[in-house]
Amino acid sequence: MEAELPTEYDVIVVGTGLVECIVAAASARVGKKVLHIDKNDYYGGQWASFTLRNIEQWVEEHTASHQETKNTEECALEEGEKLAPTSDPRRVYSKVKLSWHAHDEAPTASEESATKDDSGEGSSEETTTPKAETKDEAKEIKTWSQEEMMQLSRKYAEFKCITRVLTWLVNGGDEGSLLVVPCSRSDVFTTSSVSLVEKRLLMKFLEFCHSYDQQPEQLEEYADKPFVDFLKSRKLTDNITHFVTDSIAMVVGDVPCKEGLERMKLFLTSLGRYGTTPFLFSMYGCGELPQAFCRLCAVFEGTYILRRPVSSLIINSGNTCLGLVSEGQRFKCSHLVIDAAYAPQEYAAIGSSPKQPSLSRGIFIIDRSILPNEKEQLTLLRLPAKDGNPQIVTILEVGGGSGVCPKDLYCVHMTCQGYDAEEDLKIAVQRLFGCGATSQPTVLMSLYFNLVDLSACDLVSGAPTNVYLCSGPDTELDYDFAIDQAKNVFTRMFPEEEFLPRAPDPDEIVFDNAGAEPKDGDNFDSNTKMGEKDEATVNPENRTDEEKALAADEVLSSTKEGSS
Amino acid sequence: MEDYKFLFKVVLIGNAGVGKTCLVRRFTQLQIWDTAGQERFRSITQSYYRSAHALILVYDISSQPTFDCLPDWLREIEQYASCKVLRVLVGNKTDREDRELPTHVGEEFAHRHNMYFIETSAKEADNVEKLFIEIAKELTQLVRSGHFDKDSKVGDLSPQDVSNVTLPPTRETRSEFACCSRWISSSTT
Repeated sequence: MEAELPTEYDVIVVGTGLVECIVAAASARVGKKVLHIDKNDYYGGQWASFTLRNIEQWVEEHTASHQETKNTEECALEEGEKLAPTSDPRRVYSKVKLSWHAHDEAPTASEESATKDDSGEGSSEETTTPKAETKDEAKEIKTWSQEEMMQLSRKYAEFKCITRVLTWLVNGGDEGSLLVVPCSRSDVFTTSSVSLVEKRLLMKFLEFCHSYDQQPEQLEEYADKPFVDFLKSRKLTDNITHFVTDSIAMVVGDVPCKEGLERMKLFLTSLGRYGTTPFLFSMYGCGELPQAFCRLCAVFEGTYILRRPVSSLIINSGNTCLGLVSEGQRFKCSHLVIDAAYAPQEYAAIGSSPKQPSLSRGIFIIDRSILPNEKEQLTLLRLPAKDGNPQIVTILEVGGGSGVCPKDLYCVHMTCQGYDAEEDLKIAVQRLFGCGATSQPTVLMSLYFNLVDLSACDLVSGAPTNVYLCSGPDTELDYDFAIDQAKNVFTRMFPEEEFLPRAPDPDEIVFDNAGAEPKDGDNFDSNTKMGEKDEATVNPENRTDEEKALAADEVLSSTKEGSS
Repeated sequence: MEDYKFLFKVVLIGNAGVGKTCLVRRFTQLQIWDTAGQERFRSITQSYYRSAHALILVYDISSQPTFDCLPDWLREIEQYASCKVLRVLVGNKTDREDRELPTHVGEEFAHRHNMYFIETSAKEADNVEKLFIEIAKELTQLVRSGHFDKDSKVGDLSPQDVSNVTLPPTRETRSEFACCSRWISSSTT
């Protein structure tokens, strides 16, 4: 099934994390010749989504002791050239721990389905589709009306709205409990978690935030003061202050007033665009997003190869990267984009200092929602770093409706900064899953791991100027960082080119034989960039599949989108 | 586009060069996902298979290797596509003089793997329309019989589920599917 592979490219992209995929798509989009390779047999790298079976395999690979096997693949070098061996991308992970929580008593129905899903065998519908998708090291949420991102991936991915935002509220001396955060006007009206007086205060405050920048005089005094001081001046109660800082603005109280207000405004103006919260979640997990960009790249003729390790980069005497060596074969490129985890150690010194920023991640499968509701909910919860919880923990709960786990089970993701996932998330786990109280969910599976936060590392100064290192996920909810990084890499490579220009509109695509039965299956053209190939010289039988697919993709999309 | 009652996602797979794209291009009033060349190094994205209602596996009747790879493709289908997906085996390029695979060989393979079977020539437009019309008919029937119920992992057929998001922005979504896919839109009702 292998086809012949050209050896010269404008851009070679190594690794299929989100940033790499956006750069690959953007490069192909403006006509650059792109080769995209990954040593894994799945897409997404640190952003991938896995089935249960895949995650076991992943855990096995990441807990086995991996001695650094230096890649010493032979390759004919010319004078002045040297090889820079790539790194084992597993170097960014630590403390990986997977547990199945089987119980001695007779298994309940839900446990049964979870274990069946694990084995993937069986006759029931759920087991024959072992799609209990649990996500690895992931960003879960698309937030804040990120139009840019939406426009780019809308063709190839589906989204669901996060339906509720929860908070953990400690009242007086109690242990605290989960409450739904009233974040829109109608929420404030209907909520029972704030008093009538508070409702008026909150409503007034939300309205103010919506257009705070039009009333600068109200702010002058607080310009450089903490956000909480400003909230006090608006006479907000502790209760409301908690909702506002922890769940709507999602800041710590001492951020400057202006930043707090900006985040409030972003949240409020993002409401109602797609649903009742400003957040979207990608169906089937966040691993779909890198794939969406890969498809975009492939449609614009990018070449894709998985299961293809890269042993070294080839560097000349002027410290410029000439290409890479993979399975003994040499590939040339003008620009090389690479997942920082794969990059040669001297380009990004990961693991050299113990205090490199790191993320703690916990992934759980539970048998009921953390706050059951008659309808399945997609839930976002942010546990602030107080009342005994050491770190701000971002928690996402998704159910079967999002295509990530079987019906009636839930998948919970926890993320915080830290160096020991199990320890850092202990309080969060205790609060949500408790110690077996009947009303609380039972944990069926738990996975903990730590991941170096590459977004906080210097990825530029150590690398040759035409090698671009890409980071993995950061702690933020949104994808702003990844998009900005991709844009930055693209602009450094091609300062003259537009970053992901709008795809042609359907009515801009003209078929020279529109309406008529084509004489020859391949005799097809359009007036868009993709159609500019000299058709006359192309023997239909010899056209590459990309060319065909490209053309077809646009035709087909035009028939659909033209109807809107 | 005309109104439709159902929207179906149909995906095509098979070795490079078997004529998948030609088949699609012969039938442009439907919306069908093509592999965009990602099959060449067996690097099709999983998301390609998401929510598909029908899956067309194509080989070239003049090329034994493209037939020999069918079991590999079936494994990929088992792994990524819904078990409820309608599966069709297509032997393409019947216009070729140098046939290597007799019709009955394809038929037997299809029968053994519980697939529909048809031979086509995208070049001569032979049987292509029939292929897609039959798929649309069959899918319509399957929907009516409740085959694609709510809980299945294939695409949701009811366009009323507002919690799904269609882009570009609008809350009164016209259809939940339009954003992303190549669909067969069947107006046969």
